[in-house]
Amino acid sequence: MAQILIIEDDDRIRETTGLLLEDEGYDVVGAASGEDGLAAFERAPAACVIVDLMLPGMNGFDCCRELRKRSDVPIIMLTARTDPFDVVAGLEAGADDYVTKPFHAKELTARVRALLRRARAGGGSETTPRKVIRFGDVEVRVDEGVVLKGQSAITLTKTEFRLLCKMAEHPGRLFSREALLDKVWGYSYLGDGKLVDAHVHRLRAKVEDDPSNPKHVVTVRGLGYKVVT
Amino acid sequence: MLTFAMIGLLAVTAMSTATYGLARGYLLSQRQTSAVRQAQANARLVRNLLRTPNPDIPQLLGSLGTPAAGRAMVRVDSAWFAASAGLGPEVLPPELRSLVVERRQPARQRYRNNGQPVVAVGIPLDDDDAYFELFPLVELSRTLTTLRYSLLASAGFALVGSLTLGYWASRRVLRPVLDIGRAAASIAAGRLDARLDAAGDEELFALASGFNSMVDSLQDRIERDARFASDVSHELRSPLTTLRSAVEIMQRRRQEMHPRSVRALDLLTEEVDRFERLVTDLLEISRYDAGVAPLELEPVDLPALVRRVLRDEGAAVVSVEVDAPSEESQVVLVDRRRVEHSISNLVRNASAHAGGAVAAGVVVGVDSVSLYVEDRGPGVAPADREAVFQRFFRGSTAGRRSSSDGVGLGLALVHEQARLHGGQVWVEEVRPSGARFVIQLPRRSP
Repeated sequence: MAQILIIEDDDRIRETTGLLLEDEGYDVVGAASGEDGLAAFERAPAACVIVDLMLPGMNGFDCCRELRKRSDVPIIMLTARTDPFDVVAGLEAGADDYVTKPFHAKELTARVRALLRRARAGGGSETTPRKVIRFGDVEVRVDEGVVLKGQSAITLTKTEFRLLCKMAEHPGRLFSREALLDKVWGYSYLGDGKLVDAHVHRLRAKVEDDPSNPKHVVTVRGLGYKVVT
Repeated sequence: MLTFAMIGLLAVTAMSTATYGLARGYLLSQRQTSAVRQAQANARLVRNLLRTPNPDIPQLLGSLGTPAAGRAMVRVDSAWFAASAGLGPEVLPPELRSLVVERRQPARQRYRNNGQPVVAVGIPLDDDDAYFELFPLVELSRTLTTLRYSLLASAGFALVGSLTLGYWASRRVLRPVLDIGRAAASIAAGRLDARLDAAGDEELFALASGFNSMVDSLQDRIERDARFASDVSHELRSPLTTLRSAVEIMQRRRQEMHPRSVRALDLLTEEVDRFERLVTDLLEISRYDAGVAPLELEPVDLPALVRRVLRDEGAAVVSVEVDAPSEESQVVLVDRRRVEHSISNLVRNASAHAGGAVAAGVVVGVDSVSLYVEDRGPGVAPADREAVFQRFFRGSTAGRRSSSDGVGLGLALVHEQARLHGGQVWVEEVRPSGARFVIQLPRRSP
């Protein structure tokens, strides 16, 4: 069964969260600090990582970044705050999704399940009208899960890749935030627009020539996003 | 400031007028004295010559000193002799002439001859002869004109100066007062970081720094209170997370439990829910108190939002009533999370106190949008219709507390959230029985 790594310094939360996930049939490994968590990930890469943002020593943001350097493993962050700044900063650091404490079991397990399902399905979508999508100097090889910019391959996380494919498959079509949450994350009512915004922002940093003046992944003010070839 | 300038102007005018008057009087009397002295000397000379037999009067006049040569006249035996053409008895004022010739008195008179200011001096000689001399005052009058202009100019400068000085001084005196007024107003409006600039003026330093330290301690206290509530709620989140997860793990195994344990578990679960809501609300309201609740506007389809909240809350409302000019007009810029929270608070309030929400709706007006939730409960007593939005409000019908009572902060948060949007919230009566809670927000189109 898939292994999940929980990096959380509060022993009780770590234990109960572990029990919850074990109930769902996952193998759970716990780590009480960012350093321990990274070491555990090195020993045995988990299928999904849950990171608390407020950790002693290496904080959750840095931990996310370090994990991202090594892997595109799905990351869910736990935050005690509803402060939007923290959420956005965590997503910028590379997290795929977030849960605010105190969370409901179904909130967390639904996210874990959705992320694992996507990871297993690979980046590609189930029905692909075109196998290779090009816009600007970017080439998306949907089946291979590869994105080239110019001649060099660029690294996208699975969520970023999925987001790019969903939009690029239908150039010019407008996607609302809700639609993207539904198609990319797989649960519209649990997520929120910030999740989409932060991922689009990260995606632009990787595929646009000038991320502050995007030419291909553009915002349709007040409505959502679309890809322009 | 105007007073200052007026006083300045008055002082300058008085000074200039006095200076001019004194200078003019002094210069004139100087000139006249010297004219009289010179005329007396010339008259003495003429008298001596006239006493000689057969005096040659024209030559006599010519022999007088150069300046007098063109300006002297002599009356000898009723005949007039002048040193140059254009002079004669007719240039002399008649009063002067009669005074000197008939009454035998030396006299002088200042007047204008052919437009030129002059002073004429007349001195009686022997018999009814007389000597007259005209002294031009052109030089003097030019000097006086120059003096007048320069005094006027300096008065002008002084006026401008006093205006500037007055403006500056009044600004300087009034500015701190205005500053304090402004600072106090912005502090009252919630901007606790407003301070006075204590640097600069020594006399005002005490006032400004006193004011600032008062605001410092005020801010400190407000922030400490807000932080305390926020810290407490934060600290409660970790144990709540554990509680919540533990309860859910047990709930999954309720079939394995003794019925009495199941009942206890259900009570525990309910209380954890309530506790969690309270902590979340407390954290939220402390953010309003600390003034750190940002309004995050995004386009939201309001009827869709209300429907979703009703579904999530499991409310029995069948359909959402919509009154809007068009489908697009239902999409309005609001803070989605806060509006969702408000509607869900209203729905929860209805189920806790009034048997549940029975209707909900969205009304899109010209400048505002209204969202409402209705129930068929006992309604809210008119006396409580404002107080119901206060924190931890307990109705005047206290004593009928049910287990689900104690929404506590819910309606207060609805109120704060509406206010943050620049809107308002109220409760009205529904006939025959019930209450309608209305949130009215300004309509911002995307």
